[in-house]
Amino acid sequence: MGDAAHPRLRVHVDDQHRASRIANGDRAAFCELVRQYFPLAYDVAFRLLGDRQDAEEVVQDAFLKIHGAMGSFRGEASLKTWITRIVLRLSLNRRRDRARSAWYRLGLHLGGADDELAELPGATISPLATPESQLLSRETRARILALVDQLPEDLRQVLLLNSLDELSYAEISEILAIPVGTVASRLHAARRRLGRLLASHGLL
Amino acid sequence: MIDWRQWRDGGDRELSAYLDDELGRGRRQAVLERLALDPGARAAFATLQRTDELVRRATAPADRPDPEAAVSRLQAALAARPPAAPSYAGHRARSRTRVLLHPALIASAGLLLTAGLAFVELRRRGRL
Repeated sequence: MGDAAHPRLRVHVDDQHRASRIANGDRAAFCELVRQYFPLAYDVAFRLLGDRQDAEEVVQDAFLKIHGAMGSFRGEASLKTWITRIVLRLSLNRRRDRARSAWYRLGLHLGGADDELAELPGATISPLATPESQLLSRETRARILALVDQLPEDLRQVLLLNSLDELSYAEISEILAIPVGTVASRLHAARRRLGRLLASHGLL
Repeated sequence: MIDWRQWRDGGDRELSAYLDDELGRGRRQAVLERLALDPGARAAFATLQRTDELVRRATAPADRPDPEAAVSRLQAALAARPPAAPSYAGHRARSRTRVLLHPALIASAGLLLTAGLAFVELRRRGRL
């Protein structure tokens, strides 16, 4: 929606060279790629799944698949959006499988180790703690997540991808293969719906 | 001067885009003017802003695992993988060999050879 083409979406020649180095067996280049994109990949998986262990497993699986598929990377998208798309797809698969499992249907996943730690009054904050996650009580967080889950899947995906500072509308459009205008409309619709839900539950 | 009628269609959506810093300079200026003049727009914008803030906070991970640990796990997983699959050309050559050495094919060839030899022998003795 900007006046000029987004600087992050220029020709991805460097990414193409990088991918071909990895495809030709350059392990150091692959490790560098993992270091660079692991935080983004983990954030995407965590925001979609809401569970640390699931997110770690999905990201590990995603990078193994990415390594195997490097030879097919053509530079039509950036490595960033290509990787994010793979992580998104695997996270959605995991979410679907999880929804079918008895563990989740019975609600046994609620109240995990992270939540217990968050409840302790003097709990040490990890040096890797993210600033956004602080200042919300466990209960408020759970209530907001339950309302986010009530959104239609297409709106939920755009809302969660946009909650990552690193992704622009143009990049979200590339990841989801929808026009930028559709990203903007879905995002606004998601915020309006969620805003109404939050207000009706006294959270806004 | 702002044409307020245009806001009924796309104006609220532009508030969202403004919140995400996704508007060009011209549209951004128009949104700023609207926010300065319209209390309803200011209220709508505040709601969008608060909603966005709550989503970011509620969905963010409490912390992130160390990328180096992930790198080590991936290196171990790649090292434990079986060697790469043979190329298509090699696979095709091996498939052809496998077809030629198939027991049914060998048995059929043997039968044909026996029948051929028997036919030649019978002709030689003048019985055919």
